[in-house]
Amino acid sequence: MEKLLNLDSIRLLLGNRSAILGLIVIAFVIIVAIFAPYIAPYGPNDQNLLKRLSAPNQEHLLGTDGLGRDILSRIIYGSRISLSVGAISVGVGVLVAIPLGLLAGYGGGLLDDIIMRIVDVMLSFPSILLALVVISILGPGLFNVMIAIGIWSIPLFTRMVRGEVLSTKEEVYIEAARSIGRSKFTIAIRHILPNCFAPIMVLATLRFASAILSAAALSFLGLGAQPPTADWGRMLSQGRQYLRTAWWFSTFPGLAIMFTVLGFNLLGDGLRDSFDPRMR
Amino acid sequence: MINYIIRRLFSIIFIFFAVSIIVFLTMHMIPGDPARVMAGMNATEADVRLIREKLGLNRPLYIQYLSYIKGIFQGDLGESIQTGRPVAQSLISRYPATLELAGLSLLLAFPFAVFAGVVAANNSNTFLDSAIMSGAVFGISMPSFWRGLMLMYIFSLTLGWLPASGRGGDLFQLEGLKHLILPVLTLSFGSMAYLTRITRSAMMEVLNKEYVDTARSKGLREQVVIYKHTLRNALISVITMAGMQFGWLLGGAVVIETVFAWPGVGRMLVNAIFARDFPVVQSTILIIAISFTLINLIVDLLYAFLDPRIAYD
Repeated sequence: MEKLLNLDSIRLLLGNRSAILGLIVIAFVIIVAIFAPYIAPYGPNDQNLLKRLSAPNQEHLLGTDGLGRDILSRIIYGSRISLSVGAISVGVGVLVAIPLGLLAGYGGGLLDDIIMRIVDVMLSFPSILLALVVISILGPGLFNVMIAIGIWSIPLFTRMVRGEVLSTKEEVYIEAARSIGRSKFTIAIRHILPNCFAPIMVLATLRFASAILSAAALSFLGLGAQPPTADWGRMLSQGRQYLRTAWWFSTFPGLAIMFTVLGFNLLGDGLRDSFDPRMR
Repeated sequence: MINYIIRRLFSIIFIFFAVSIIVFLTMHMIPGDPARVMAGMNATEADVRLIREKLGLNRPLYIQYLSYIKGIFQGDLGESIQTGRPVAQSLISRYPATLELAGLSLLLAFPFAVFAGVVAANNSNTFLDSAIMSGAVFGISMPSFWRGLMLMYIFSLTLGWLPASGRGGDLFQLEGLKHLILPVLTLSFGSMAYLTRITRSAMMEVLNKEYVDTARSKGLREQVVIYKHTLRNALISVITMAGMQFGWLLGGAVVIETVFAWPGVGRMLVNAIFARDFPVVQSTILIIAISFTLINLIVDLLYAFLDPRIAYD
């Protein structure tokens, strides 16, 4: 934990404009997600067919969709979905990758070879292709998308944890721990793992951003969230049919995705600059 | 060097087999009976049996895999369950459209990104740098399919300058080119943003090297220092990332092809996933993954030629 809670790093982080901006954006989205029922002017699925496809007006600030649902309210509720997708898929990636990376880096030998070859194979599926492989097995659906994106994150985190382990395991204090008879397991968990927290946080923040983007893309394709879920990607795919007549339908959900993803990317960049001395 | 190439080729063969096993197993990992899932809800028992026999699902798993691999080497990728058409034939007719989209996107992104990255690094911590890097972070945060829809709304539906969807034919004809502009712009913008960030950080790293100070202290013109001593070295890592980007563009094309109704393999893949047409899903994924691996191999080998300092051992 030393590295993560290093006062210098925190001071640098607080002095980093992009990190602060990112934090503000993320805090805003989290607050919106938590208090959605109090903030949203309408329910996410309240229909008013008499007012379908209304342009932004005083009653519906961002207009209504093809079923007369309030787009602002759906965007507000959609933040819950996007944040959950990011959290669950990054969580799956990190939780599976930490033991794998520790085993590969600290265990070494054949185990390392096997784990890293599996990682290589997983990385040979470019972009969202690995997620598509998983979805083609599990079938479409929001939960399956979270799992798919989580699995797609595993190789990246594993490789990073392993790299960190390799660079710390030769340090003097690890040798000291070994010489006083600490077990391999204790050394891995108590002494090596804490060194990986800072890089894991950086990668997790950046992956959070790409997880939201990928989930939105999969929902846009119809493979993720299913109707009537208020999901930003799904809203965009519905809005696409009305692009000519109702620009607001696809414009605002896209802006919401960009705003949120931007927050995580800015924070990730800021964290990297502050925690990773090599990047300064 | 020769050793490195041989080792790399071996690793490619390993990856090919591993990818083929994963792709082959996708059909067998479907919860329940794959033949029934593929036949659909309204299928009769006879339909299910027909599919099972057609795909050889009643044979032992290793025999199925061996015949699958044999098929791949003979150019036989099975038949689509939906259309009955040989999958290889569909891939041959559609893959060029995807390659065209991804290739042109990279060709457009690379020079712009290198230029923007160099300008940002040269003017580091100035307004210009901040402006370029802010543009880049916006670029990587923007959903590509939304960018596509917005471009379509502005340039096709509102201004009427460009066609909204489809492929207009040959790239070298006006109609073909016009149809390409929007999808290529949409796809390349993300890569452009990403490569700009890579170029800037690679340039910054090299600019801090002592030999750059030496070059400056020799009294060389700044232009020579930047382009001859710095950029050439920084480009090596940018080219590697650009190679990887090509793979990412092939994957990204899956989404963009759907936005612009582009007749490539990406759209075919998405349709096949919906229809649970596994022969098509398997082969499309295999082809994209193998292309990506081959491109990475070519980039790695190029890298070895470009940078003799790297001893591959």
